[in-house]
Amino acid sequence: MIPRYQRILFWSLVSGILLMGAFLLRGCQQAHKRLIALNNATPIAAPTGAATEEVTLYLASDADASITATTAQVALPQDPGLRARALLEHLLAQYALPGSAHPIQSGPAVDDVFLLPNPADTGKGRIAVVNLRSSFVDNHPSGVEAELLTLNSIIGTLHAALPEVSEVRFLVDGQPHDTLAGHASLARSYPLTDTTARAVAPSEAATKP
Amino acid sequence: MIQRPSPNALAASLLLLAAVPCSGAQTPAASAPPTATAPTQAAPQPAAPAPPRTLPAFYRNLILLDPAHGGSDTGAHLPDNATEKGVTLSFAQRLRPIIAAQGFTVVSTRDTDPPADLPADQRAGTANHVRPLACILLHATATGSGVHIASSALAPLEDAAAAPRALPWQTAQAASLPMSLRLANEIGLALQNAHLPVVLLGASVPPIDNLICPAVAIELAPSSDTPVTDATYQQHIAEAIASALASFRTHNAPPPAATPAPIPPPAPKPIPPAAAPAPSTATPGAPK
Repeated sequence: MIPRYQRILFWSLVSGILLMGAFLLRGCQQAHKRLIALNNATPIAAPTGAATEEVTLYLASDADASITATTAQVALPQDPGLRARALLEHLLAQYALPGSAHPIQSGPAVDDVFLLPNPADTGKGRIAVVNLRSSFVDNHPSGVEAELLTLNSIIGTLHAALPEVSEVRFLVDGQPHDTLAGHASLARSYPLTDTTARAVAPSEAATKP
Repeated sequence: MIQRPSPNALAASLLLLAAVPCSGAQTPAASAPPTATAPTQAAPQPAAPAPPRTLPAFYRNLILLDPAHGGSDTGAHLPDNATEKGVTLSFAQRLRPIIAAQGFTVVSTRDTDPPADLPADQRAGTANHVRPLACILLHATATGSGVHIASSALAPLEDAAAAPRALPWQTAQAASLPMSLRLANEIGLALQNAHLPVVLLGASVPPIDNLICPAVAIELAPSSDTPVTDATYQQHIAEAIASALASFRTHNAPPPAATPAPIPPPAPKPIPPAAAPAPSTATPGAPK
């Protein structure tokens, strides 16, 4: 005959195991849903031949508000639009790595990059339209410096990869958007230039008329 | 005989010169249309239509503060459950009396948390209407360190003197960008002298590109372990900004009395006695 207290203990343990199992299952389901929501993206076309090439990434640092050009080996598609999109995804993925100097939440950031002829002047090159995902914009750190560094990082990287493009405009989920995360304007177009920058200190000479 | 202008006529000419718009710093009192006229010898003419009242380029003792965000737009979420809209408003309220102590009149785009959002265009409209010496846009963030001072990222006009009278709304700041850069450097130097880390940036932060006044966006970021909500930290920054604004006024908008006297116009040719009576007798106060 099993004593009563042992039966109670047994069934209590079984109940605890079942409750913990249910809790674990629910947590897994929620994490799965979250990952699916972030990765709900059409796949990027696989690079032909899977050969890597050297690209220049303009990486930002929050500590000193600098943008530094570095090179990396990346496998990219041949199509210019897909190439720009893959390059920007690779760039922004660097900021999601642990120890990043400009931390941004991981996840897909760029929906599309369109390269269009410049309607104003054909001699000025093409226009790149970067369609960002709202999940990226919603989770981007809010602040003048943080948003400016992200934009300058994208602009510099596109400038190095697509020299025929003269300016870039930004959309969010296909729609015009006022700011990236409340500060840096996305309503204007930006000229594609070398955005390598170091922190600028104020000077006495620059205060005089 | 060469006639020298009488003191009264010279004073009236100076008053007319001081009321010319866009000629530099002016006080609100100086913007009123001149009432004194130079004495003339000519016969009374039919009254000409009064010229339109000219407004000064800016009021040298007026500062505009724009605490960013407000309403449902909370801005960045800061540590200790603080929001950017609350920090910018409290900092503006801290900054206001310190700037006023330097002899400025301070106008703010908002003094409370409004029930509805304040659009960037409305903020710019307020700033452009009051014509301040400087527009200060206040922000706060949890990233970076020190104080970030941003001026517009627009390209400055190549020839500011030839700027059209009607400025495009999206690039209105381009005409004032050189003064905005000087203002950013003034504030940066004052913060550096207060041993606060400073970063100068060029960024298009709405509504900075739509402002016609010298404008900078000042973003408060944590300094080492000091959060942006720290009262002492905010006080140091506010005092540095106020002293920088006073210095900016001294360098770029000296008081009218301190401006160098204009070169007097060349003396008029004497009129032959046969054509007109001797003017020396008709000009009161002329040196003999």
